[in-house]
Parts: sequence; structure tokens; C-alpha cells
Amino acid sequence: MKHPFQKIALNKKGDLFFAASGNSLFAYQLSEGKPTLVGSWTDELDADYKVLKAYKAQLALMQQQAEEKKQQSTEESANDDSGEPAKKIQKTQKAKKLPKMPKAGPGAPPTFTYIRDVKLSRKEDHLIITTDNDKAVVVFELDFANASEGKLLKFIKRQPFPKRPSCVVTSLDDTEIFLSDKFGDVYKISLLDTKIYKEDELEPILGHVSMLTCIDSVKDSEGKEYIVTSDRDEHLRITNYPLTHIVKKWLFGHEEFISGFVLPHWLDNKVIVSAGGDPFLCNWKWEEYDVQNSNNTLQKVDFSKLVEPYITDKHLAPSRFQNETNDLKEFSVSNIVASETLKRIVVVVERTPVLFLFKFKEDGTLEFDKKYETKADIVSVASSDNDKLIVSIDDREQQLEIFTIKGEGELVKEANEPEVISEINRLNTSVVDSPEDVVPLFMIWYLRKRSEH
Amino acid sequence: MPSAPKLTKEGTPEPSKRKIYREDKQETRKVLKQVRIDDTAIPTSTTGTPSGDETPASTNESTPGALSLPKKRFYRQRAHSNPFSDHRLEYPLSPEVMNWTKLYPGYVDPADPTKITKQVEIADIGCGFGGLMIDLSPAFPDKLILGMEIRVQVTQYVEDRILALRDLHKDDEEPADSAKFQNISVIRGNAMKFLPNFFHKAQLSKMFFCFPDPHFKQRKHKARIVTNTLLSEYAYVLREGGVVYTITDVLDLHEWMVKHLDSHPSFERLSKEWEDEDTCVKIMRESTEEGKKVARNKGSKYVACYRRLPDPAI
Repeated sequence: MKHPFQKIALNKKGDLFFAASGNSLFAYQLSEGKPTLVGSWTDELDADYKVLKAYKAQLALMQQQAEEKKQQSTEESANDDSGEPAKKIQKTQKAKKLPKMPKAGPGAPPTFTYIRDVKLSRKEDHLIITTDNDKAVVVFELDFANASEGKLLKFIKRQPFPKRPSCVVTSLDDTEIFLSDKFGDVYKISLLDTKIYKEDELEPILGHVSMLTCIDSVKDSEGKEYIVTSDRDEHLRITNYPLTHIVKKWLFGHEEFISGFVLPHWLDNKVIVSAGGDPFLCNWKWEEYDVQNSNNTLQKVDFSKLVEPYITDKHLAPSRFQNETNDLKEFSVSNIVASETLKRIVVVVERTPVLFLFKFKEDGTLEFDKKYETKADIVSVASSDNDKLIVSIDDREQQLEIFTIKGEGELVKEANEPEVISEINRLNTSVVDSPEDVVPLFMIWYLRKRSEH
Repeated sequence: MPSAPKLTKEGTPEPSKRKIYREDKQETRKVLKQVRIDDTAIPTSTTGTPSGDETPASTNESTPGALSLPKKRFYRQRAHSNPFSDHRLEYPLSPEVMNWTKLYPGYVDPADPTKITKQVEIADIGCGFGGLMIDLSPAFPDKLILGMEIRVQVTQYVEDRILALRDLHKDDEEPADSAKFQNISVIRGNAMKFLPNFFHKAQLSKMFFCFPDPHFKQRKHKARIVTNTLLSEYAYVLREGGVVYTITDVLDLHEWMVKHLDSHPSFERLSKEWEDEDTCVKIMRESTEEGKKVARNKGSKYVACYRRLPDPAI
């Protein structure tokens, strides 16, 4: 069976579609007629990379120790000719015995390694992805000259990081990549420079003591640049850039983890909309926001009534954290996208088959506009600045739904949508043997905090 | 040292002496206030809610007899706590909605009983058993001092100690005496995660890091209380000219803190001469439990203090 697309992206024009399927990445040209595969890449690093790395380190250490011992014993034997040869042989034999490569036992939970984030640079000449195997950022140049031969993705570099990356984005001038990780740190590496740094040469430029979930850059009305980061401890932080040691402010409003935020470009970057484990979106006028008076700069948009019809047993809280009547259901926003053409904020609640569209009123407040149901639960959403909005869904047959944006925030399906989708699926060569091998598609709920003491 | 709880015949743990003692103290604490911000367990008649004309003094009347100072041996807790785990912490959504009135009942604003008349200005991060605060209290009688401690039982000890000390002086004749220890308080919290939830930008003038957990292992270094990235958050809550105080008996940790503070653009090290003349340094060297222990063992104490520099114009 084909592996589903866990993360998708579109260029602004809407004719280049990137889809990550397990450990493979596919680039499709979506012009008139049939989609074509213009590039693909598969992460071929061993799935047991970590185990292998630890194993190799152990081997190296043993070798080193053995050599030291050997040196010692030669020194000893030089000093003492009447040694005990039998004992020495035993020693060397012991050192030769190599440790076995460790393998996960039958009861061990499965480990998944897959491509997590897929982002285009702002000028759309580079594609940046994050991989799990070695916790790396992989950079590709988009080589349009060779796209017709299926070689759009020209590998530039692969930079491993100490902790698992959660989100990548490029700086506003597209010269640097910012990477946020699950340990709360943000690193900066050059987009173009191919130098690979060792782990201890990398220094975070800023950090939270909490898992980071999203990162982006923004300019204020005076043209000053900032990095915006969100974390699992309800924090949304604005930090100066490049002077990242100066925190501008925190935006306080969330009561649960934040899974993501967007900066709608058509509003001149004056607005941040964030969401996560709360039953509301936060609509911030971040520049004016002041914690001592947030009345006019923070709007909370409750969507619990909207989502209620779609909440099923799939949303039951884990048994350990259930209530007495065993009916506690929880939901979280898994995708939040600002669609330039639609001029809408598109919101998806994890494990629901529906897109909620929110629009801004004249006074800047956000309100529910309309919704579109899909065939199956939505995994990932990508919107172009042109006329396309694509969602990947949890359906092994169809995998995708493609909407075309018409007029005033209207989503329609073109007549050829089924053929386009089946061609994309046909070109997806990432195949798994059983449903158990599919990477976990719905992981946001996991961020909810469950403290015991 | 903590030992495994004794098991009864049925196999259920028998409550230890320490537990019974702490539960008993808990009752007193409930009447007065709680370590936690949550006040659902407190009987409404004694919470000092803004409803009536109850003053903190009348709250005390409801407790029979004078409070005794808590005994530390009943509150011992493992010296380490994982700052990354999701403890059941209570912290305000933002510094604006933080209710300080229960922590500093002596400073409740008569005009608005949900507010206090002063802001906290001195923070003791990882205050342990509270020795530093107890000595800072008379040295800075007009400043509010807050201890933050992540270990529950240790926090409870500090709170019981402060409550007992306040109680001890409540009938003193001089107003300055009867107000003793009203300016210090403690909360259980994770300063590494939630400091900006408690304090506004530039609210603090002094921050203390006394004998922090050294986290010796290389891969635990991010758990140290002073790191490059965290210093930016401390710089945010500290005002220009404010001071970061550090003291430790672990040379490796001292060098680590110095290295990170030295390289952080918001901080500048204060001279040895400055240290020798500063009251807080003197108190810090002599008054914390850890400090006394190190002195007993004739160990070394390493001090480093840093001034918060103004931010460059951006």
C-alpha cells in the first residue's frame, strides 16, 4: 500500500506541489493536464541510525582502550621479560570480543523516522526539510532547468542538530535558516553555505525551556525584524533579530499548548493568529499588545461549538487521564494556514474531516466564515497564494483533496480533480507493507500537558 | 536521607512520622493560605477575600495559639528536580492577573483588596529552605522579596517558617516590628519556564541564584539555571542596573555561570571590591543553609555578581 502524505507544501503560484510520504519527498508540477513528477528524494539513512551511532561510538572507545592496553602491555613486557604469557593472551582475546549490535526486543514500541517539516524559502528557490534519523535539516536548491528530467531537487547540504527539529523557516532576507527544536532551542545556519558544523560548534541563538512548536520571522511597522516562537507551555514570544538576546515581549493568552501560528501577509504582518490545545484561536495585534492592557490587542475566537459535531470517540482522552464517566473528549488544532487568495485563516482540528475558514472584519476582529467537509480526517494543509488549496487526508485510496479558490473565498473542485489525484498517487513510490508501518499522522494531542506531581 | 516507606501487613504504605507532621502543618497552612494559588480548599471565612473588612490580623485570630517554627527534618526532599517535566504547577496566565494578596497579606491595598501596594522587586530563584530571604527581610524592610522553589515539601517548609515568624512578631508594639517578615513570601514554581508569567519587564532589581543544582553530567547542562538562552529571560525581568547574584561551592558550576554571564551582552561582572562592600553578598555568603553547610565542611564558596546593562538602541 502507498504511504499517506504526512506533510505537504505548495509554492505561491500553486503549480509546484511538495509532498512528504514517510521518508520520501516528491515534487510535482501541477500545470494544465496531468501532474508530472519533477523531483523526488528518499532519506536513505538507516532507520537504526541512533543505535548505530551509539554502537560505533562504543566500538571506537573499545578500540582505543584496547590500543592503550596494548601499549601498556608492550611497555610492561619491555620492562619485564619474565611475564606470564598465558595471562596476556587471555587479555587480548577478551579485548577482541566485540559487542553485539543492539536490537529492539519484541515488546519495544515501534520507532518512526520521517520527514516532519517541508518549507520553501521565501524566494522559493530552495526547499528545506527536516529529517528524523539524524535530526537534520536538509536543503535543496530548486533546479528548474533540470525539472523536466525529474531533477528539480538539487541536494545542497544536510546539517544534523543535537535535538529533534520541530520547525524550520528562513530569515526575511532568505540568507539564514532558523530551526526550532523539541528541546526549546533555536539555531541559525546559512541557507547557501555548504559547511557542515559539528554538534559542539552549534550554539542556539535563543531558547525557551519548553518544546518549540512553530517559528517565523516578522518585521514591525518601523522595519525592525523579530523572530516569533511558540511553545508547549502556552508561550508566544517575540525576540529581536539579529540581537536575539533581547526579548521584546511575550503574548499571554493561551491556556494550553500552542501548536502553531500564522502571520497573514495581506495584513502587513500586523496580526498573529495562533492556536493549539485551546478551544479558541488567539488573534493578536502583536505590535501594540501590552500585557497590562490587552483588551484591544487580543481577541479570543471560540470555535468549540463549530467543532462539536465532529468530535467523536477518536477524541477521547487517554484512559489514564479520563474522568469518572469516561467521556472526557479533547481536541486540538493541528493545522493553521493563512491563505492569501482566500484572505482567510484556515483551521483544522486534529482527527476531523473539516476545514474551518475564518475571515477578518473591517475592525480587525476574526470571525467564522464557512466550512468545507472532506472525505476523511485531514492530516496536512497547503495553500498557494494563487488559486489552490490542497489537503492530505487519512484515506489510503484517495490521499488528497484539491480545492480551487473561486471568487470571494469560495472553494470548489475541478472536474479533473480525481485524475490529478490518482496520478499523484501513482507517482508516489513510497510503499509500506502494512498499516502499522505508516508514520503516526495525528500527534498533536500528545502535546497536552498531563502532570502528576 | 529518604528511605523506602514501611509497609503494613496489607502492603499499603504506613504514613511516616514526617508525613503525619506535614499533614498536621498543612491544616494550619490551609487556614492561613496555601502554597498553591488555588484557594478552593480554603474556608471562605478565613481567606481574607475582598468581600469584607477582614484584615490579615483577624485571620490570625482564628488560629488557636501561636504557630511553632516548622522542623526541617520533616520536610527533607531529594535535592534534585527535573525542570523539564510537567509538574502540577500553578502559575498565572500573565503577570497582570497574578494575585499577590495571599502571599503578602500585610501589603494588601486598602483601596483595592485584590491588589497589593508594592511590586515584588527581589527574587530568590531556587530559594531552598529560605535562609537567604529570612536574612534579606530585615535588610530590605521596604522591598518585597519572593522565593521560588520547585520542590513541594521544601516550599511548604519555607511557607510554614514564614508564617510562624510573622506570627511570632504580630503582637510586637512597634509597627516596624509587628510587620516583620511580611515582606517575604514563597511560591512553588519553575522559574526556568514561567518567570515571565510572574514578573513584568524590568520589574526586578535583584535576582539570587544561591547554590543551584550543579547538574554535573554534560547532557544535563541545559537543566542548569544559568544558560545563555535563559539569561535573556532574566535580563527581561531585570531592570537596568539590577544585579544577578550567584554563589556556589562547585567550582565547575561557578566557571560555567561566569562563562555564560560574561558572554551575554546584557550583563557585566561587578568587581571584587564591589562584592566585598555589598550587603547582599555578605548575607548570601553567610545565611543560606547551603552556605552554612559549606562553611561547616570548610569548603570554598565562589561568588559572581553581574549588573544588568542597558539594551542598545535598536
